[in-house]
Amino acid sequence: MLKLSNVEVKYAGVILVLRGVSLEIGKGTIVSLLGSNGAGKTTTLKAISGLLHTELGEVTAGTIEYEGCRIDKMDPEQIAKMGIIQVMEGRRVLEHLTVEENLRLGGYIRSRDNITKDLDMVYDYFPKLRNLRNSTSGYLSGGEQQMVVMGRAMMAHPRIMLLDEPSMGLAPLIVDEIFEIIKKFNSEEKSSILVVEQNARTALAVSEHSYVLENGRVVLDGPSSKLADNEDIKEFYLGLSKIGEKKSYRDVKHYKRRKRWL
Amino acid sequence: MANTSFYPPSGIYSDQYKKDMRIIKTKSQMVMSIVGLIMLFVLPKMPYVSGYILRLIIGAAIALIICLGLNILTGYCGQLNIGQSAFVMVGAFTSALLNSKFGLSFWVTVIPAGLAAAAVGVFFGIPSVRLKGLYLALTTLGAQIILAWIALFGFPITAAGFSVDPIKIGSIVFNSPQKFYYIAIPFAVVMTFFAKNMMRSKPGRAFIAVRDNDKAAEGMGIDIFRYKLLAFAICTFYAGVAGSLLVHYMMWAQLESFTLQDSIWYLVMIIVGGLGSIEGTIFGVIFITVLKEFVFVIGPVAEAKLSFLPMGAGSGLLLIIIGGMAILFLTLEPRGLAHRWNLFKAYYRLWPFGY
Amino acid sequence: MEFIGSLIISGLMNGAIYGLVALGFVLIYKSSSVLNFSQGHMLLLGAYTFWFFKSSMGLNLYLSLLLAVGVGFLVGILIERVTLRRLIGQPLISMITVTIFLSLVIEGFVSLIWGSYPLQHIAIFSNRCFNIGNCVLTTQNLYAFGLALTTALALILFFRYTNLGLAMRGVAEGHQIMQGMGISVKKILNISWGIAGMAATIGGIILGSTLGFRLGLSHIGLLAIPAAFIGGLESPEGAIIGGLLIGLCESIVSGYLGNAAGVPAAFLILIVAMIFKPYGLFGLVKIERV
Repeated sequence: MLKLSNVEVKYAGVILVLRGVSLEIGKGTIVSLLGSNGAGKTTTLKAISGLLHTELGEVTAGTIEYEGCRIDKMDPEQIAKMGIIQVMEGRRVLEHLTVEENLRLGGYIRSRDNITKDLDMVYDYFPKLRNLRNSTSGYLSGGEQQMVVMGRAMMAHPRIMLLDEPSMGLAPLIVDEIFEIIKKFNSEEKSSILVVEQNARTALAVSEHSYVLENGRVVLDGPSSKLADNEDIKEFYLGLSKIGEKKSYRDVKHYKRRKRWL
Repeated sequence: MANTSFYPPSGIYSDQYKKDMRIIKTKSQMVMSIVGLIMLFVLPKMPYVSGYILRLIIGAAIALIICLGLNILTGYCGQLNIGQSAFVMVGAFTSALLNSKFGLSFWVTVIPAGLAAAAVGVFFGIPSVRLKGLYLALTTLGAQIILAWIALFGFPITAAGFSVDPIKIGSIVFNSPQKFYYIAIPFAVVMTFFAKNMMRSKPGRAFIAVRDNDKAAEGMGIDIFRYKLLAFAICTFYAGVAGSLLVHYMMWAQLESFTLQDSIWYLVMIIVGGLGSIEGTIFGVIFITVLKEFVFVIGPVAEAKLSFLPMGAGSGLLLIIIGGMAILFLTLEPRGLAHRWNLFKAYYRLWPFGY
Repeated sequence: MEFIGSLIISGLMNGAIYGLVALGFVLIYKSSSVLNFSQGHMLLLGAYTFWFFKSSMGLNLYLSLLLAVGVGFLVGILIERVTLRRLIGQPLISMITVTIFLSLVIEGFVSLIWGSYPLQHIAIFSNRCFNIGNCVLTTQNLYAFGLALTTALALILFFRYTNLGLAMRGVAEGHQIMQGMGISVKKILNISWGIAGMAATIGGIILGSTLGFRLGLSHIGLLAIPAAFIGGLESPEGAIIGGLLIGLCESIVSGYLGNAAGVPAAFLILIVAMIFKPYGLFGLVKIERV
């Protein structure tokens, strides 16, 4: 459904961030994109949703295709109308507006008649928000704000939801709660979800297919269950060299062993 | 947004913090600086350099001092100041009145002028304890209006303007552009150096911290109120010194030299040049000075040629052109000339390996 | 007693006009987070456009009004399209500088076409006066007052209860966020500047018919700034109340101290007031979480 082919992204004409990224998202699947800081994960999402322009970024090579038509040069508004909605990192709520107003704006591009139904749907997914409907969203806690931004995206009934680091800065229990909801949304609404995460464990658990990004390139991809068993992923992303054993610093010889995918 | 301003030429690295903080990092930079300084000092003697050009340069040098102060407050410390020319006026009139009433020379009055401006600046900086951003800018606008009113109605002689003695060193009287050049340029160079040096030291870093996130800065132990006031003080001290220079150059002190329009021009200079950058200030001052001069020169000519249009049309047309150009400039490069310059340097140093 | 009475009334009347201009500021700020330094000049342009239709082209009064307001709307959109469009997402200070330069361009344009001398006077309102005690009220004062209040009310309702108003408030919070939700930030900005252009034109027509059609009209923008700030930049109610307050203050201080001391006094009071209420009386407090 969504296909990136050899996408290259540059900022300000001089900073190359993505060096030929290819990935594919099928209908109704959950795909995760892993990688450490600076790998280019957020840039990939922004390339898909068209938000690179305000940061002086552009797709300089490669194509991004959604259901057969190219979207890499389109305006973000048009891309969103086609059903690709991004939830940006950092829980960016519209601060001075209430929770319900945020959600209403999420549903702005859809017709007015279904607003109440859509609002109810979001409140069903996030019961906590129902009590907070009229609170100013800027003052909510991190977990609640994350719920608001995800609910906002859900209001638009996205065909593909791009989630950028939903677990950032949240307590582990809330993280589990949110990922449960992500799974539920995917199975009930049949939306595809591309989730970018540094929390590899949770991301691998919830997704069907995963890509690992390093330095702007996809270095590994495959079904998530297989990746979770991969030696290199275990060592570099999950922190397990020998399962269950404590690591002694004397044994840390990362510099001696190269990652197998290099 | 990645920082493109720190690509030193290849092979240059610093192994000590002290070395990394140096302003001049390479031999070629040192050579270029020395050559630049020599050229500056020799300029008036060169052919084709007329009094007109020197007047322009002196004007730019004084504006540079004003804008350096402004960039320290607005660019580095993030406190928007729309009333800079009022503080210039405070310094100017302090120096001029001391000269006119007590016959004190420039060398005696320049520091008090700067201090007077600084005192007033700190006073108007006090609201910064509670106000931020645009709202703080309003108090500086208020400063402009209030100070102008006080200057007009508070002192009997200021309304019509009065004369001021020129600067003297021993028997040399600096009453022409050729001579005043040698006062203006050294002052400008020295104050630029001080500004650059200050900004790479502790107060400079504190200013940047206050600008970027003052609550976090406070959490790190930086006394934000004190540093905001310090920034105001430095900014207005620079303004006061420049004001003193200005009145002794023109040998005349009048209110019309210090209007709201001037404050806005100073802001424009640092924005076009690049906020938070000393080099940017220099670029911005030069660019806008040239632009304004263009208007002054071409204005009357255009007016005469287009006499079939109503009166005032010529200058109107010019305003459209400058305004339009400036808008175009800002839409194409909102981060100012300094950013363009850094990109250019990065491109040059990394070529052909752009990334 | 009567002296201060007349001061209060004239202050309120002037204040209504400041409030009307401040409304324009608030409208633009609320939707695009830009402080439009060219508001005063948009007012000027609106006034001159009306003069053009009525005096130069000799059209009838109502037609001229309608056309001028329509042109005001278009000019607002044009300005937004040409300049601010490119600046979406850039720092606040660039946007402000662009509006400052815009005011120069507008002034230049007006001088170019109509010259810099005052234009022939047009009277819109009959010069009926009412006497309240010793105070004199003209119909112009009453019209301005009424107009300012109705426009404010309309805007308040608009922002609070309509979808478009909500979208405008959202755009003020974050352009990128709104773009990501599929809302056309461009269209929203277009509309808000268009409405601001219309408001400026209306204000300009009223002012022009009383003060005369000359370049000095743009200076009203200066006093409307503290009005907008004191009320809080995001609040239409605040703009009107702020305008009235500033008008009152200016009138009373000038009346007792003379020397046009009203203007600096207004600013002084503004500064003091803001130390107690940093975001204006009704403004939105900046939400900070470190």
